[in-house]
Amino acid sequence: MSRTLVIGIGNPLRGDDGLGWRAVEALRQTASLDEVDTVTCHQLTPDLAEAAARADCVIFVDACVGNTPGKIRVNRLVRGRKSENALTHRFDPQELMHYAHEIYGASPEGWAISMTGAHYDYSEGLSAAVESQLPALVDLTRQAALRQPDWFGGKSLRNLT
Amino acid sequence: MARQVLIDPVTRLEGHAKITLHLNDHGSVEAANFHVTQFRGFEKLCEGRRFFEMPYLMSRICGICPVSHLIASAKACDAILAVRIPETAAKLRRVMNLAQIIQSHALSFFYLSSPDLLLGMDADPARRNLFGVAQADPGLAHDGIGLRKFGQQIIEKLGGKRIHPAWVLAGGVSEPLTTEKRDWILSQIPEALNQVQRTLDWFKRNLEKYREEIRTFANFPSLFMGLVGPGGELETYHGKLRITDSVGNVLQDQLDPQRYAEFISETAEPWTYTKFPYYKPVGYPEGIYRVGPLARLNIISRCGTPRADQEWAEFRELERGVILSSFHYHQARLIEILYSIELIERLLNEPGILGKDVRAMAGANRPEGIGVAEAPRGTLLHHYKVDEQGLITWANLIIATGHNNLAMNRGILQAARHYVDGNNLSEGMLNRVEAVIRTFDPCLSCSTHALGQMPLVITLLGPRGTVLDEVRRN
Repeated sequence: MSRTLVIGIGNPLRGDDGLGWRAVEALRQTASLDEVDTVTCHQLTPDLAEAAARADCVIFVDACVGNTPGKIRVNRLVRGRKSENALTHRFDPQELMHYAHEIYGASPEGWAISMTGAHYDYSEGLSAAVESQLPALVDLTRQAALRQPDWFGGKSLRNLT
Repeated sequence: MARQVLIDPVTRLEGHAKITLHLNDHGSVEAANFHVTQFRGFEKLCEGRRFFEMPYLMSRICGICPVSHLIASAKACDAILAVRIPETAAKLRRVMNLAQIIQSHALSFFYLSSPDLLLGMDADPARRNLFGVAQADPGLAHDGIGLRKFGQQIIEKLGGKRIHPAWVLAGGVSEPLTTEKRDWILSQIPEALNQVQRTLDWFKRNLEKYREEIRTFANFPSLFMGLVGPGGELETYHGKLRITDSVGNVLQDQLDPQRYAEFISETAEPWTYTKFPYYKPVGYPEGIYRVGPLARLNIISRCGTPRADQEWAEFRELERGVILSSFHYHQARLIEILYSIELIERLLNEPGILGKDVRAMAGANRPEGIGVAEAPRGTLLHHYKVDEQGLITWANLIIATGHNNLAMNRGILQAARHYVDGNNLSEGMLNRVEAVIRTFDPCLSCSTHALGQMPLVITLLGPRGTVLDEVRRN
């Protein structure tokens, strides 16, 4: 049976940077997710490559910048880019997927669902713009995790290569 | 013309540092300094805090070895409480400390040093990283990631999260171990043992390739210090201090760590934020000593677990008597991973490990407390003083990396004199100087807390990087 791994990334003490955590924590309260594994982390690390390799689909949920706060974006991750990053302090979803392939021989499907944040100050709460869109983010992530057809319909879709 | 070669930053280690090599007119290295360029200041910022907050505050010193600070701090708080914690709590703290050693040593060996060891010191820097290791030897990367993950998962099972876990507190731990968690950890032991054994076997097969590095990487006489058990066995959570010299003579044995100030003193140099501890009876800088995996395996009479003891016996034959080359820290780290896995298995199978009595309750009963434990990098000491309300009035931290500061500085000078030709510089030469530091696996973020009188510049920057204010001292 197909398994999905959902990884919420960010720092819950830095305002909207914690939206990935909040989304995954809300997802965990949802019923009927037996084939979905969830992880929350401050940053991606190489040891997550094994968990990614065991999944058929990996979904990363994270905050981003560069758009209207609250706007949700979906990117498909296409394996192919070799890491040029000599350090594991900065480790992005693309590199994690590459590690999963190089070390474990796995090529799961990869998606990055991100929402533009408004502020990243020292705070445990989300901004109003992000808080109001959090249910939509959670619902989209749930649909993606359950591999529902055309789950990304209507959202901005860009292939990352 | 005299010149200076600057290695900035020093890569693949925890924290921020640079190395300056001072060359003479002929291009040979005359002097070298290891500058730790970040300042943390926890000794000062904890003043005024309630003492029972200290374990959680101090664990924030580091994201690699937070458990080490958690435990040393909690032990200092136990002393302030004047309690003896329940036996089950001591065992559980010990398990978490061993898990910390597994994950931290795995990080050091596989993530930070294996690129040099597998791909070569002169390999292209673009490849000389963990990803390059994964491409060249997926099995080695697999085992390294697996071991680090195993250590972190144990910490998460016990303390709720992998980095800055709670659970360890003044008087014991906050909750007992469940059967489910115990059984899960035990189920992972066989594969973890296989992973570290495979790596040890690989490393030993390839040791001959590093003959020149073994000879020149901080290979000099020094004292060695660490905790030992009552019979001189390897001890990482409790025990007493043992100090030996470079030929194995025991200078001090079964020393109560509470008396550390009688034989350890510290000084500062103006060009680095890390202090220089030294062995007081000998003085500075001749009282140079080393701590950490190499030191521990030098000072002990045995490890105390079967497979680690076998590896340790073989390890001790690398040199006659005491192992002096810091290159051998790498193998010592792997042996300690093996020991830690074996000991976790033993502890989790002991009766009472699931006991419910895990905390001793009390208020502040003593005006000061000292907590000492073996962190992955060496002996770690937290010393606090409190007032009548239990607020911290003074703190002194002696960090493992600090103990090794004299040795690291001497080590880079030795390597630089051997490898660096100022008239024909190559990246590989400089990487070897960096690699000496990596053998010590320093945790630089942990090591800079004394405010003192060192030169200091504090700059206040606005949101756009504008300098709003600046304060200078000395």
